[in-house]
Amino acid sequence: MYKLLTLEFRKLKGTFLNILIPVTFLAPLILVLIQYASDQKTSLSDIITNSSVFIQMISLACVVISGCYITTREYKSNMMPYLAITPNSMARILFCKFILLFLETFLLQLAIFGALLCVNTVLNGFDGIIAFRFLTTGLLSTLFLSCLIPAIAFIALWRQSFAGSSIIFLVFFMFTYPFTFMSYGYIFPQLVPVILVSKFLGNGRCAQISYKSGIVVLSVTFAVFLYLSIRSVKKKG
Amino acid sequence: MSYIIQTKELSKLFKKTAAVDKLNLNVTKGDIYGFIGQNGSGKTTTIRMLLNLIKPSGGTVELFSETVSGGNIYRHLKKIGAIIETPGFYLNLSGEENLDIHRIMMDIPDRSSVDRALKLVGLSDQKGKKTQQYSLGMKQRLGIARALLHDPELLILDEPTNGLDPQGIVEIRDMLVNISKQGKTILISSHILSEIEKMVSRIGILHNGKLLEESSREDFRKKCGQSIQYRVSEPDKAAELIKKLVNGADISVNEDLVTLRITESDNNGKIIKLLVENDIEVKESKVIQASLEDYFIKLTGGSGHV
Amino acid sequence: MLRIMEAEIKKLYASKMWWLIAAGAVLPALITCLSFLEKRDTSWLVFMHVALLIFNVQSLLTFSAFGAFLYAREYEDNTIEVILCYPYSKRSFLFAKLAIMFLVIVITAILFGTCTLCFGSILLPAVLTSTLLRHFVKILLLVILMHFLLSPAVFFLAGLARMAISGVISGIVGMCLCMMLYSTNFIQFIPMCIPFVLTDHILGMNVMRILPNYGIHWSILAVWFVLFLFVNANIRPDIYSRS
Repeated sequence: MYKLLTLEFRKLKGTFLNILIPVTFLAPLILVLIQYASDQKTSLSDIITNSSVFIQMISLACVVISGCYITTREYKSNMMPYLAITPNSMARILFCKFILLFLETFLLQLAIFGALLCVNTVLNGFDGIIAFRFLTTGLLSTLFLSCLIPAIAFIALWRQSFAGSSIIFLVFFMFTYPFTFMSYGYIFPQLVPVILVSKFLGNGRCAQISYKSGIVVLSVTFAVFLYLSIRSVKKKG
Repeated sequence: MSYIIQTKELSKLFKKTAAVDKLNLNVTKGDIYGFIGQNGSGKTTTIRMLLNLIKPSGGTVELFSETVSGGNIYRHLKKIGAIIETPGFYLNLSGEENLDIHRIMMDIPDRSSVDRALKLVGLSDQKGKKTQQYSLGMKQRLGIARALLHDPELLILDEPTNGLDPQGIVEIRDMLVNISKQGKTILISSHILSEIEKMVSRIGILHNGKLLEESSREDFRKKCGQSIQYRVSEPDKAAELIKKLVNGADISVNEDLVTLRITESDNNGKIIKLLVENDIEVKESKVIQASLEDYFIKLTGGSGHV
Repeated sequence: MLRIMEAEIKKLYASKMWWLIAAGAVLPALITCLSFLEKRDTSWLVFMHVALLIFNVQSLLTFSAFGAFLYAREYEDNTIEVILCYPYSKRSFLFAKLAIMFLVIVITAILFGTCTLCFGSILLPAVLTSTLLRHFVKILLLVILMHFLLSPAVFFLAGLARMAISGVISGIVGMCLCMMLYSTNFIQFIPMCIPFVLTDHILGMNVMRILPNYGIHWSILAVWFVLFLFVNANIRPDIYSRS
């Protein structure tokens, strides 16, 4: 298992993900700083809270793009027959891809909220409560976004195309995005991480949905798509 | 002589490496020109330069006796059908729809040309299938159909038989020979010499971007040379006698086989008579034609993996 | 030119991008309708304002995804060599694709406008005045023009990345920029955000703070259009650089 995971990491060498991940890390930081520079009356912490939806949106887009790429790259390079004849089950390989995506999400969230914390500390001095809140947000965000990984993988396995699957997921997400601020927004699982993290950060526009219903939706999504993606990969293997 | 394709000192440099080096290619009207070279010898780069897909680093390309420039290339492209490596198609569309797009682009009003082209390559039964479901061989056939659809004067085919089964290769070969009989000119590149050898009228051998030789198939055959093999009772004695009869004969002996490399086979009767008169039993005598493949390997210094 | 356009339309036949266009046109009106489901006493002006804001933001994704698909599919389907072997200049293809893009933007805007008016009529008790209707139609025409002026940049990006996903990414970036920076003065100078900002002002809502002279915004869009049109028309694609 460890070897497979190492291989998945090695396969990332020279791919566009090496650019996408730093960009995803820098984009929220830059956008928050632009807002702060143009409106210094609002505190940085408040700007971060108000922008929490977009910070999550950028992270989700990155997870979707990398998830679709990592899952479908073997289809694109005609490597499936090769993978199928190695002495590793396809489910195992898929599981390694999930772990890789989880680690990527974890590092990304840690980097984003860590950097925001650093900037906040530089501008306003260290505040233990804010530090705790940002780090907890990073962890929660990782957990919530990770619940969508099987769904992303399933769509990628279904379409067998990186561009096709990421377009489907992202377009569906962006078109349903305005439901984030509606009381029934949680019926779209892809919006739940955005809603819950924003709510945790104190964004009033996302306060209408309870954590309980959000977590239930995410858990069901995780379980259903985990089953479906493993079944799909076993069929194709 | 009217040249359909003529290149003068055509070169292409990728960084500092010459992919094509001062190439002088001459394809006359009605030729089936075999463009032979191992993988990476510069065949596809040359074809791309002929089609204005990449800019030459030096030299000129003449198509239909006119130097190609930005202004006249589109006029020439109307008269050319081409396949470059593995042909690409719109995968969400059927084979028929892909050809119909080509028909529109080439301004052919006759819709039945699509069916004719599909029939020609044996894809009529599969015309409604999406091209993403086509096998490599089927895609190759569809690519040939697309290249032929607008009845071009010049066909440029880069490895057109890639992925085809032996029967398909024979069918395509016969089809190209028939097309050539209608006065069309065909430039066909391949690294499978046995395929090319049977249909081409002229051959150009490319190696490391340089044209090593260019001449008619007959001239190549002559250059390849022949040998006569005699299976005899006393091979050493037979070799001595043949040496005396034929001045400067290139003879090799292997067990009971005496092989004489020749350029003409006129001496064969005399040799057999001489051997018989000297009480040497001649069990077998046969003329062996050296293949183009052997000649190619010899020409490229033995490095030609063909 | 017409021949290339006919071929382009044939290529789009059976592609799933039409769903994207339908969603891009209907969803903004539908979302607006859902937003005001519990506030039916809203005026037509506010209803149109919200619908246009959502449409302008979502259209960044819709049109950039469509444009990138239109432009990058030749690379993705490996048909770029075939295209370049046709007896037409690269510019003819560029203009044909731009014309298709224009048609798509027009169709989407008309569909959106119709949906907005239909949903509004069902939902709102207020009567739509002919003056406001004319104003709405005028704004829709300007929106069409503004989104069209952004198209060459989308083509450029798609040609550079050679992937249709580039359009989705740039669309999302544009959407995020619009939504995150709407409270800043800076937003009016970002070409992708100009339709979003300008529509708000032309409609007379003035939610966003911008310079009163629209000439600056139109100039930015015109420069953006001409610049990328020029670059697209003159760059000779080195299609083998990644082979």
